[in-house]
Amino acid sequence: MIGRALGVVRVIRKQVWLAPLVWLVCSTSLWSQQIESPKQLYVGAQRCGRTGCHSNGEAKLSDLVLGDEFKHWEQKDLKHRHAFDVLDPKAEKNETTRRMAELLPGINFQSDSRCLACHAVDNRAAVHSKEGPTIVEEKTLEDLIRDRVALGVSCEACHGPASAWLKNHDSWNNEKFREWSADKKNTPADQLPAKLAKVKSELVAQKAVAGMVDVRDPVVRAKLCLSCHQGNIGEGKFVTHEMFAAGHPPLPPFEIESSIDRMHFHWQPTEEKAVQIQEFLDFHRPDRARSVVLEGLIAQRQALQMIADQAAASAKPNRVAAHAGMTDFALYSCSACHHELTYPSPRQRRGYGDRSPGRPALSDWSARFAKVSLLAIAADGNSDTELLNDVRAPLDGLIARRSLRISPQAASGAALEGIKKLDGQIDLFRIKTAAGGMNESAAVRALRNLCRSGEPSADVDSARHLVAGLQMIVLDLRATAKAKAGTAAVKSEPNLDKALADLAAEANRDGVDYDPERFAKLLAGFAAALAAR
Amino acid sequence: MAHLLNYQTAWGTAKRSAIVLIAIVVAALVGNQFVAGQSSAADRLAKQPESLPAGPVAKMVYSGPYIGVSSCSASACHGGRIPSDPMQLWRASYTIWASQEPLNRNGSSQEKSASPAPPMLDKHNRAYAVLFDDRSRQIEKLLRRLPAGEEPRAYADDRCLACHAASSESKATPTSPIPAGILADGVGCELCHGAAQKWVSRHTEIDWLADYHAGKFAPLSDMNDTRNPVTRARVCAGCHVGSPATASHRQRDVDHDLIAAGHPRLSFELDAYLSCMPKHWIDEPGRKRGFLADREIHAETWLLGQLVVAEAAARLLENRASNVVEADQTGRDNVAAWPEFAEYGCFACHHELRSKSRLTASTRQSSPRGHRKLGTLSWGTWNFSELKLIAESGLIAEVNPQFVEQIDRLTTLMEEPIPDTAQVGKLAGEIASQLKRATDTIERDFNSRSGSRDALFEPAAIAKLMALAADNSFEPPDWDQSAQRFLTVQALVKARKLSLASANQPLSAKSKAIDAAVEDLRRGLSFQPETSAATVGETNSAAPVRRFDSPRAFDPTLNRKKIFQPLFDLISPRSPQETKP
Repeated sequence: MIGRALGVVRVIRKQVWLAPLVWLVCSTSLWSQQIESPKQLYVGAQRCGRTGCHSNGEAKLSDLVLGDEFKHWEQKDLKHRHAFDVLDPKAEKNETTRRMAELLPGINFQSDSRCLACHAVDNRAAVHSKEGPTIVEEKTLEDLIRDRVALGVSCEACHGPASAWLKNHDSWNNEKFREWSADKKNTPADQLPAKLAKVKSELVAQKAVAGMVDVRDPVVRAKLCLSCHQGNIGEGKFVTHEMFAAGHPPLPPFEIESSIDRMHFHWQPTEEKAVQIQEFLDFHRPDRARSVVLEGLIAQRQALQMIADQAAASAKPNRVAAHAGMTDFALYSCSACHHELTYPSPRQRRGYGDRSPGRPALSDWSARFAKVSLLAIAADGNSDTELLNDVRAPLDGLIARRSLRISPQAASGAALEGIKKLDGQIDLFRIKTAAGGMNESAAVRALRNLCRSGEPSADVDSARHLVAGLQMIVLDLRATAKAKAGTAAVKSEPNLDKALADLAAEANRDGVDYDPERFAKLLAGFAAALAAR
Repeated sequence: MAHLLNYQTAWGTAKRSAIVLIAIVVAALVGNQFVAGQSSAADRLAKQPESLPAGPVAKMVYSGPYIGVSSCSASACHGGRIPSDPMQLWRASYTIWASQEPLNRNGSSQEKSASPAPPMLDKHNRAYAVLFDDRSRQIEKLLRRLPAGEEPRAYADDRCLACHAASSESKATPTSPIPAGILADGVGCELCHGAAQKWVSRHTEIDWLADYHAGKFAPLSDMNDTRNPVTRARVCAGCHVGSPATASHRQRDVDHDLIAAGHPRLSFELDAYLSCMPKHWIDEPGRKRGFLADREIHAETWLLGQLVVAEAAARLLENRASNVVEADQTGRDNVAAWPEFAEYGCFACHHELRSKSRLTASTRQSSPRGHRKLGTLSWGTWNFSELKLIAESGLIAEVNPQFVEQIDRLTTLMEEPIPDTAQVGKLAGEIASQLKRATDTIERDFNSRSGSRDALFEPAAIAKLMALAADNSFEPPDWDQSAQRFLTVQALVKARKLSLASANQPLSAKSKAIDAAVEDLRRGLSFQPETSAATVGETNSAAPVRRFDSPRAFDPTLNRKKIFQPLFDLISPRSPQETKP
């Protein structure tokens, strides 16, 4: 008895250090909008797709809704659609899964939360808060499949568990929208923006409380995509190094905008929507450049969050003390270790910066974009650039000194401190760029800064990530130019296109054939073409 | 001749015998052609003014135990011309060591030799000089994280000097700085044979020499009897594996930080390394004439090498673990990495994640991993991999199944994400002590010439080891284990050849086939330089061919069948081709 009581005291004492950190997270502006919400449960994608609302395909349901979203997703967005199907080791085409099943015996991929967290909508789970889903009922595999888990990454995986908003999300839209349309005619012009903002925020808040995800918000969207494509330990989405070693495909640096661009659209892009809808959505011009830059900060934030979460997990009292630390290699840069040894070594020629050679480096692909984002926020282009160092330095210092034996408390503290600083910058960026996204000169500046962002990309994955970002911003510039020109022809820029194509070709080489120094030269070529523009 | 100048300055206080001075002068004048290497290192030194100790050189007083190679290199001592009689090789020990041109195995210079074996160069003489080259500068720069513009001075870094030059000072007992002239010797005579201050005159006296040449153990203070294979192996392992700080030596440690900065990894196997060194001692010819022991040198060297290397590695691990424990207790933060990555198989991590094959089968994932958990590092792949084989042979009492269990337990501990320092330290210490008991016994046996171990290396023992080495169940999980097994088989094949030769049996066609299969295996395991696929199609034919320092396409499962099997078929006693002569 006494022993148990002492144990509890010990547990509490061990967790005390977390309290201010938890408060820190909760108090930051972006994530403090956790309002007491109704119980959110997954209802299954067939409720959206099989009832005629989102699989109509005949006529447009409304100005906001296409009506055949489900069909588009089901027939064309195959990777999301078949995310659950690939978990079946018995299916002939799933060679990777079969090998993983051999190497990870005793784990049923089709019902294990660690897999379903990303590969399906886990409808055993209820979602209440950002801490992630909790399993509320036990279901057999057959139950799960019958419940349409089998649809993979379906509607609710991105749009949120629908039990609380399914019935009236459409009527809300129409009601609010109609109200706004009626109001608009009777409202003096100078009061319009305020009114619009109010209506919008009401709408978003209402939906958020019920669990619907505002995928139009770049911050929310980035966090959503990255939760699987980068990881979110709090939500149970974490591809461990063991899974990678068993054959799980790598999660390379993820550039969200270009990935969305490659996705089959089951929605109508905002720039193609009716003018009044664009107005309602506060959409003024293509804003992908803004999203690219903003997402850099979010990715950096989420990377820090993973470290904080992992540190908290490893500090749990049931962990053997010797195991505590940043021990899952999945948190580290893949290419820091996974490279062929060559002589002479370009790595050694380049140097390791402040890091001791031979120590693992935390995964930091997001740092490049985060740096550029911070440059973009600081309009004069020179202040606040130290901030990234502020954000990362304490953590990097700890890793440099302690390597894998970094103390969880220290790691978590350093990561959460970094998150706090980043959140301030994310808010600042949103405010600064809210009206009409980034303008053309800001986008060009972002491109220039990306070209200059430190040393040439060390590995092929970072190079791909960088090129994807460049491509998206260039696309955005072109879209803006086109919108401006109207019907007039837009001037072509063959030099810029060529430079970008060369960069893409180098970044698409096999890892071992990728040459960072050649890439750096091509990047300089792109910067020159940009300057001549 | 910078080293001479330094000598003369130290002369007045060094209290050396006049013979030594004469020896220096004679070496400089008569043995000029052979001193070329020595003076070239010294010349380089002279060009690097910052390499000289700070302050006026003339005031320097050196009272340490080293006297420098020039004390040995008199032409009447060890600096003579290379003799035609191998039994007289000791007269040219220095000459062979200092040579800057490749020599054949027994020290005669290349053109005189009809031997097909590739000529060799003793790299030890350049150990200090390399600290001035570009690679060393780069290593020093990265390791010490020097700001741009600061001169990297590897040649003045104690961490480098611990192995690359005479460095008797430990932090605990600092002595006066070693003169630049002695540093410039690199790994000279005394670094293996022991600091000679105390024994240099005694070892020239006729009664001592008589005992020595009679093969008696004639210990002198500070002198290492390198004829004793265990003593010799320990001397080699001190640098080639590493060693914690001792009373007379700084810590010698090539850790992963140093490797990442550009230092080659230490993959030491005694027999192969000795085979790559031009002999400056009486070896096979002496054995034939009953000089020293009548032994199968290669098998014995391999076996003792394995034991001594594992002992040194376990001792180093024990020390690393206890350093971390101590740092944790004292709250010191800035410690060496734990676990130390240099103890793990390089190529478990260091391989490209090939984008084109990301979604297809990886041979890595289908290859044996033993008990290791997926995605963890594989420990002890180089230094401990053949102990199991030795245990199976039953040749060494201390290396038995219980001992192998201990190794397995240590491996399991070391393959945890953060190995438990206390447990690891204790177990590694026990393992090192057990191996020390084994090697101490052999060392003593040898010194007392009791001969009790001779039976180990009879042809039957070689055949037994060979049968075990060619075991059909051998599944190397990694390149390291494969390469170790190759080195094992190579040593045993050489030993068998020697034993056939000593029995005056002619080399059979099968022996030649075995040699060819060994060579095939060597080629199969070596790192192939590759022309980059990216540069193949390009018009710029001057694009450099990249040299890979890793086995790029290594596939243990495939290689087991393809490159091990032909050799195993030839040497395994179960092989149908085996015909007893």
